[in-house]
Amino acid sequence: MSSTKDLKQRIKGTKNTSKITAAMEMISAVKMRKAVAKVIAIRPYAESALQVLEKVSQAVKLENIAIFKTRTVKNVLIVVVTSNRGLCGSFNTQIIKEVRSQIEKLEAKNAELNNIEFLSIGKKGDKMLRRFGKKIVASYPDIVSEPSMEAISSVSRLLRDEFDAEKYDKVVLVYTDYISPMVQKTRSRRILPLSYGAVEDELDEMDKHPQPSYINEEIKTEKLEKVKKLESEYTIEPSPEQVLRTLVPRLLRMQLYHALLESNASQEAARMLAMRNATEAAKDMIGEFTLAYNQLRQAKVTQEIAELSAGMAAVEG
Amino acid sequence: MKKIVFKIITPEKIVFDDEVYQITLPVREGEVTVLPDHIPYIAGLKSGEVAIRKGPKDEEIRLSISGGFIEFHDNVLLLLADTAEKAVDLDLERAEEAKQRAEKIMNEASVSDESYPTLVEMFDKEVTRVQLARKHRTHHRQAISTEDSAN
Repeated sequence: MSSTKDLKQRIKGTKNTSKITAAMEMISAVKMRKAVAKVIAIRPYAESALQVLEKVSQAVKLENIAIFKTRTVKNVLIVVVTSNRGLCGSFNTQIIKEVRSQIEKLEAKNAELNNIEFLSIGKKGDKMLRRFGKKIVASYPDIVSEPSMEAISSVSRLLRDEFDAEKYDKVVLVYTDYISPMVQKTRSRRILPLSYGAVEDELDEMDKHPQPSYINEEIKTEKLEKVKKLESEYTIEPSPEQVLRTLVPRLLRMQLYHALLESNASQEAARMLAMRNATEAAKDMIGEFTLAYNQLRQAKVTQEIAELSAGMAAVEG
Repeated sequence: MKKIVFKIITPEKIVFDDEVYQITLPVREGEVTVLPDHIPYIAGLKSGEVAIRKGPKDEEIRLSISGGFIEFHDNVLLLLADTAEKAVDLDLERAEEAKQRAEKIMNEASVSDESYPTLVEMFDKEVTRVQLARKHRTHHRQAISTEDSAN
């Protein structure tokens, strides 16, 4: 039976832990909001980039450009976005689950599939993939903590180069999509070969976030303009191909950047929830310990009184 | 008077959004100035300086941008840049420091290095920023000195 001293110590320890978890919950909440704000901020860029792609695709046939061409899938690269730190519930295991189901799908669909390799963004995913004996060609832990278009450019360049060299015929991105603080969903998306539809899907995904009013207005006006625009012929300088060459890397970077932001928002949301649960569990534990402590103390007092009165009785008797 | 709705959009935010009269852009093959009623136009940009005039006789507003492209139609000009900064926001010393840092890294890196193109890109960007910050500073000084002589 634990002594009152032990119990007191445990209560104190649990209280300290709960203070830390409560603080972590608050920090995650702030970080999550920041990441969500960034996702919203990228939308106008994404939309305009898509518009330009649409215009350019009227001048050149996208199917004739290598990076838009689908090939027989023999070698696949899967880009896995996870977190660098733990304590975020099942966030990372969910991603690995998605990766596994993705592998199964790829194997079922592509008869000529030869090899699947991985590129990891985030330490946790990296570790898990290694444990499963997967081949990781590159690992980028740093860009998780500070995602920026610049940081991502080396990843996107690597992807493009390997795709151009036909080392991979398909690149799939697996990440967690932030839907609300309580709901996050793992997603897989083909990012290479590029396709107009995939970028469009991405825009729809951004739409689910609450938009500041000014963006809504913009969408409306832009839809009206769309009808008009298709009629006018564009002068494209230096050439449509050249503009595509500028546009393509940016589209790819944008997709990676967006996935990373969604993943970070999800990660913080998951951590927030995990920490809230931990704080609550700590509260329950403190309750139980306090009860046990009080019972123990009560028992001790009762025992002492009983001993005292027994002693008195013996003396008087 | 006709005006152009001009927006500079980066992945992080909308840097500039206003009605302007004239915009000079650093396109791949030199400079292009866009005035109202320009033909529909799409072009790739290099790192450099964007100069904006709100009216034909207004003072130029300068911004440094790094790479991107533009789309113009019906007097709406969208500029999609990787980064964009207003001259006023640029701090010369900081820009100079960043340039030196970039220069140092670039000198150390070998050409075969995988990240070399990224470095060149970075260097170009910093150089433009320094140039712009310098220009802005001299402009500012001139403005002050003319004020002084007026007094």
